[in-house]
Amino acid sequence: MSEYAVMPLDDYVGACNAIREKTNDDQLIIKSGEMASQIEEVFDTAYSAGYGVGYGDGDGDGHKYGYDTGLIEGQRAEYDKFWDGIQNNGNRREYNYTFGFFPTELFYPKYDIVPKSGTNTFRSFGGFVNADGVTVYDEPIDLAERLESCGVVLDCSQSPSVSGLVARSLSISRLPVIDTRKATTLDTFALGATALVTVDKIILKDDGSQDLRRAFEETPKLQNIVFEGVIGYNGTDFHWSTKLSKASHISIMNAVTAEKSISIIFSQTAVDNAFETSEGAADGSTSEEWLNLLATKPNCTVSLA
Amino acid sequence: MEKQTITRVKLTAAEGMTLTNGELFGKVIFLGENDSADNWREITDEEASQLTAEEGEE
Repeated sequence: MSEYAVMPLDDYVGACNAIREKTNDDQLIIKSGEMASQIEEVFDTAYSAGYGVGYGDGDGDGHKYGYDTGLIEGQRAEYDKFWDGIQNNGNRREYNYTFGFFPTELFYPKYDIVPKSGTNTFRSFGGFVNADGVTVYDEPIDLAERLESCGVVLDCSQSPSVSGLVARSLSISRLPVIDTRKATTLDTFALGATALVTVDKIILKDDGSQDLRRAFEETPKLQNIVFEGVIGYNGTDFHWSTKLSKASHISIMNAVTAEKSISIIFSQTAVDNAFETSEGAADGSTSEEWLNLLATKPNCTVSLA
Repeated sequence: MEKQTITRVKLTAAEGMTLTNGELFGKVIFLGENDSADNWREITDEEASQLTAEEGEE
């Protein structure tokens, strides 16, 4: 008995005709003396067709798959090498000037940024000094969104200073929540951050001891900022921020200490627009809403510059 | 419901002038309860610009 199962002849013929159909060969097998060679032809055709397809697909698609996969793996390896180095495999805690003049297109951190020492972490972020000695800046990015897209956070809660954190950076439009409760000073925190529009929140100490006088110097585009904690010490100055929103003014005044005499400076343009009594009136500094806000902090001298 | 009437002293600089107490500058000043108009004086806008520019570069 042959080791091969015996198929009835009609089934063989049916199978061969089915293969011919698949290979677009319209030469049907006819039961005749020629049948054996006809069957052999069928299997030769099927073999050639299958081999051709397998080879072609393997060569074309397989090659492409291999190349694409290799490219991705190579890029990942380079990314890991780069950021493992910069962030010391996630263990870095000293971030003094770390991202100064750092290209925004390369800023995709791998690990949480958790400074425990160092200042000016993002000073001049996005800047580049060209051959003529002129500093040019990348288009501003939403730093909060970029960090979120990388699945990492900027956690300043352990930093003893956030001085100059984003000073002179013209390439940041939005900051995430910044917890400064361990910091003794916010001096020059965002000085010269001329592209800054939004700060999600600044969390201050509750004792009003931190220096914010120059924290927002030269922030002309600043519109939205929220404070938690207490603004005390020597007050603060937002007179450059001519677009500051009503909500921001309210948040700042709510944060101002009620415990001592203090002074705050706002932009008169910002107050007139933010609290205007009707569209285009620009009379906010005389509005009841503004005056009522001032009344909440009678200890505070407010200057409109 | 509580109703209060708060009195605030408001100083307004004349045209072309700026108010200062030596540290702060402004066109309109809403004095705090412990502040006094005597602490403030008017200077020209040019003087004010010069003084604020001298406050320092970082």
